[in-house]
Amino acid sequence: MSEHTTARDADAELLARYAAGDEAAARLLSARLSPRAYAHAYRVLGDTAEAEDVTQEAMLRLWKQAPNWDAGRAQAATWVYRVVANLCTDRLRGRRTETLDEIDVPADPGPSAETRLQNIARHDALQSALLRLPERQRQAVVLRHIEGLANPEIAEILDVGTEAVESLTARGKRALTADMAAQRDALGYNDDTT
Amino acid sequence: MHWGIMMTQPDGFDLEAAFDAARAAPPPMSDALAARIVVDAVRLQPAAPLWQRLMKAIGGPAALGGLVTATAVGFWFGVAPPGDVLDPITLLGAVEQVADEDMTDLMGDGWYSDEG
Repeated sequence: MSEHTTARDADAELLARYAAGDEAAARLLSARLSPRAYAHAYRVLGDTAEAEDVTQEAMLRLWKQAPNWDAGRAQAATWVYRVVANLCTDRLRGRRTETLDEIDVPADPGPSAETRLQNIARHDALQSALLRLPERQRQAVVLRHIEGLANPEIAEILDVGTEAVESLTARGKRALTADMAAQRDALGYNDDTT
Repeated sequence: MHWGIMMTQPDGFDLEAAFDAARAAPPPMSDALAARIVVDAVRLQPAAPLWQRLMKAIGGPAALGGLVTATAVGFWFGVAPPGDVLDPITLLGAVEQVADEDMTDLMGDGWYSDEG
């Protein structure tokens, strides 16, 4: 049995246990699914508070759906990713393009202010470049190249064909490469071996 | 390594290395969010069936097994008690008889008839 199938079966069993009133199953399921949901939401939205809202809402919908869950039709992780992707799309719709100053930056206890700022800039380079991609390309690139999902699963999440996923990820990668190469000198990638 | 920090690429930007670094260190989800999600889950969770709740109340399957065994043994002793076990009804009668005799002694039977 493949790792993918094992995970799918484990999630389905936990959902069934949750629906049967097993409180421990809720904790296990949340621990398995919500960090991935949050990571995707954060990378697509670039905002901690919004990513938290989206994650909580997606998991809330999963809890509501659990009693009627059809394990033969859907995989829980894919289903949650799909809800997160749709919620992110809703939030991004009509939202103006963010600037680097608006991107949420995690705390980084570096040794000096200068080093810290440079690390934050480097660390945020990929994230900020992702946020400059068109929304569909961004979602596809994150799901394929960071979350590590297969194209058929991404197609299901984004509700497109696998050819469209290939096109989205290829265009997204080209745009990211060009964007980040343009930032390279400014961010000092060639200065040290960090 | 801090999450998402990219490696130096002297010959140009290596996007795959950036992806690897981001994958290796996902943005951390807060404990507060994890707690809120579990609170939602418990709030929306369907109640377990009655038999499961009763099972949990008495201590699980092991406790239920002990309870069933004790009940069966008790019932069997009632139906077919072992031969060398005293009949509790007979014992009750004997105790009452002894009690009456003790009370007679305590009352000093015959004492106040002498007075009278």
